[in-house]
Amino acid sequence: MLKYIYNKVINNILFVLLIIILTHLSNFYYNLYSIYVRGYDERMIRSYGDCERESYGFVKKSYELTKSQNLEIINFEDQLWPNISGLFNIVNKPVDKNYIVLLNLKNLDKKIDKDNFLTTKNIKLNLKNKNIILKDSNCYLIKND
Amino acid sequence: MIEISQAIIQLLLLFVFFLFPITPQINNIFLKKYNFGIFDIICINIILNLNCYLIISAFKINLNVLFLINLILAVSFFIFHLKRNIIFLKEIKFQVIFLFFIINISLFLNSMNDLRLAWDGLAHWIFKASAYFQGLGFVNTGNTSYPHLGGFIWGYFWQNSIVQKEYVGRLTFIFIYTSSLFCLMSLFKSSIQNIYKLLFTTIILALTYDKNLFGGYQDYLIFSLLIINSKFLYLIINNNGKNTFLLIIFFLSAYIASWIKQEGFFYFIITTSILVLLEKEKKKKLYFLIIFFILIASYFVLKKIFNNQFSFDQKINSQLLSSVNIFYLTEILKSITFNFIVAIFKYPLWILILICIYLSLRNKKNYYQFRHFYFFFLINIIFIYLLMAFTCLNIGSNGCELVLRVSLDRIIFQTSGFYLIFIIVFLEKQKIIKN
Repeated sequence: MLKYIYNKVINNILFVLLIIILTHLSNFYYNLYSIYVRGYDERMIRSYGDCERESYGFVKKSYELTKSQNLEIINFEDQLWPNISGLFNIVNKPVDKNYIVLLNLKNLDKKIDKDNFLTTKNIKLNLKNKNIILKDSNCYLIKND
Repeated sequence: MIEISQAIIQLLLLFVFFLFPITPQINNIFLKKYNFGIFDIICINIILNLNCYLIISAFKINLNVLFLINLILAVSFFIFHLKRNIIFLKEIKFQVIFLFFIINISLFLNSMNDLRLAWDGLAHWIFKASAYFQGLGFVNTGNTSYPHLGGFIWGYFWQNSIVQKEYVGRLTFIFIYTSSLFCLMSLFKSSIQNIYKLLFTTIILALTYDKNLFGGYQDYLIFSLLIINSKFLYLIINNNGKNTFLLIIFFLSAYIASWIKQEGFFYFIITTSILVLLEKEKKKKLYFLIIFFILIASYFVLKKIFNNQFSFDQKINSQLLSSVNIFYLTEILKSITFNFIVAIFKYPLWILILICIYLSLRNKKNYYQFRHFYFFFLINIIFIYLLMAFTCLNIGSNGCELVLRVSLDRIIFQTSGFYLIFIIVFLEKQKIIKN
C-alpha cells in the first residue's frame, strides 16, 4: 500500500516537472504574453521587419495606399530575403503596372543616373520626387510613368 | 485574446475532425482486434481525411460549405454513440491527454508568436495555400513539380478560422506531427508505467522539433506520414492474422506522401517495395504488386489532370553532364558526406538511429524482426546520395554547395520518422526501456 502511494506521488511529481520543463523550454509563458499584448501586425513586423529584411510593414502600407491587388515588389537584397508578395497578393491576378515597390534600396545616389533614372531587372524607373508616393529609409513606393 | 482562443478552438476542432470517420465506438465494433489507442485512431483518420482532401482539392469548392459539412459529419458520428465514445475517451489516462494538449498549445503559441515563414514557405508553398484560401481551387502557381496537398490543408484551415490568418492553417501540421508521435505510445508494453512512455515521447519531441520547419515547409507532414506508415508496416509484418485494414491504411499513408512533396513519391515506392519483397505468399505478393501499380498509375493520371504534365523540378542539364569527370564526382561525394554528417548533428535523433542500427546489427538475434528497417535504411542512404549527386551534376558546383546546405538536412530529417518504431522496439528488447 505504501509502495503504491509512493509510486503515485513520484509519478505525479515527475509529471508536473515534465510539464514545467516542457512549457519553459517551448517559451510557453513568454509566447502567451507576447501574443496577448502584441497584435498580429506588430508580430509580423517583428518577424519580417518594417523597412528591412522582407519589409512587411512597408509593403502593407503600400497595399493600403494603392488599393492594388498585386504589386510588383523588388527586394534589392533578394539573395538574403525571399519576396514577401505571397502574403499579400491575389493569386493569378496580373501585376499592377502602375506602381512598384523597391525594398532595401541602399546607396540610391550611386544607383541612379543624372536624369534620376534607376535601371534594375530590365525595368527603367523614374525616381523624380513627384513619382515617389511613399518613402521610408531604404524603401520606396514608386508610381510608374 | 481572440488569437489565444483561436489556438484552443483550433486544437479542439482538429481533435473532433480527426475522430472522424473512425470514431472510438466504430473502432470498438470493427477494429477491436487491433487494440488501437486513441492516437492510433486519430492517425488512421488523418490518413483517411488526407486522401479525401486529395480528391476534394481537384475541384473548385466553397471551403466554408465543405468545412460545415465536415464538421456536421464529424460531430454527428461522435454523437451517434455518444455515451460509448465518451466512455472510451474517459478511459484515456488524464496525464496523456493533458500532455498532448499542453504540447500542442505550446507549439501552436510558438508558431503564432514568431510568424516568420521560411524561404520555401514564403517563396513557393504559400501561393498554393493562398489559392485555396481565396477560393480559386487548384491553380497553377508556377511550381508544377511541387505537390499541392499540403497547400490545400493550409488553405482549408486558414479559410475556416476565426482570425483568418495564414498561421492557423499551419497549426494543422503541428497537430499531425504531435498525433503521430503520440501514436507511438501504443507500441510500448502495457507493463511500462505511463510516465516513462510520456517521458520518452517528450524526449523524441525534443529531438525532432524544429520551429523553422513549421514555417511553411512540408517536411513535418512527410515525417509524420512516415511514422504512421512504418507503424502499419511493422504491424503487418509482425501480425500473423488478417491484415486487410492494416494494409489499406499502409497503402493510403504511403500514397498520400507522394502528394505532399516530391520525395514522398520515392518513399511511397520504397516502402511499398519493402512490403512486396518481404511477403512470402506468392498470391499476396501479386495482390500487393497490382495495388502498387494501380496507385502509381493513378498518381501519374492525377498529375496529368492537375498539371497537364508530369515533372520533377530537376531537369537534365546535358551540357554540364557531358563535362563531368571523376575528380568532380569525388568532390560531390565528399561534399554530400560532409553535409550528411552536419545534418546528423543538426537532428540528433539520427545519432540515436545510427547507434540502434549498429547495436542491433551486432546483436543478430533480432535481425529478422527488423529486416524492413535495415532495408529502408540502405535504400534511404542510396536515395539521398543519388538525389543529391544528380542535383549537383545538374546545377554545377556553385549551386551544389547551397543546395546541400539548405536541403540535405531536411531530406535526412523527413525520413527519421520511419525509424522511431525501430528505436522503441529495439530499446524495449534490450530492456533499456523497462518498468
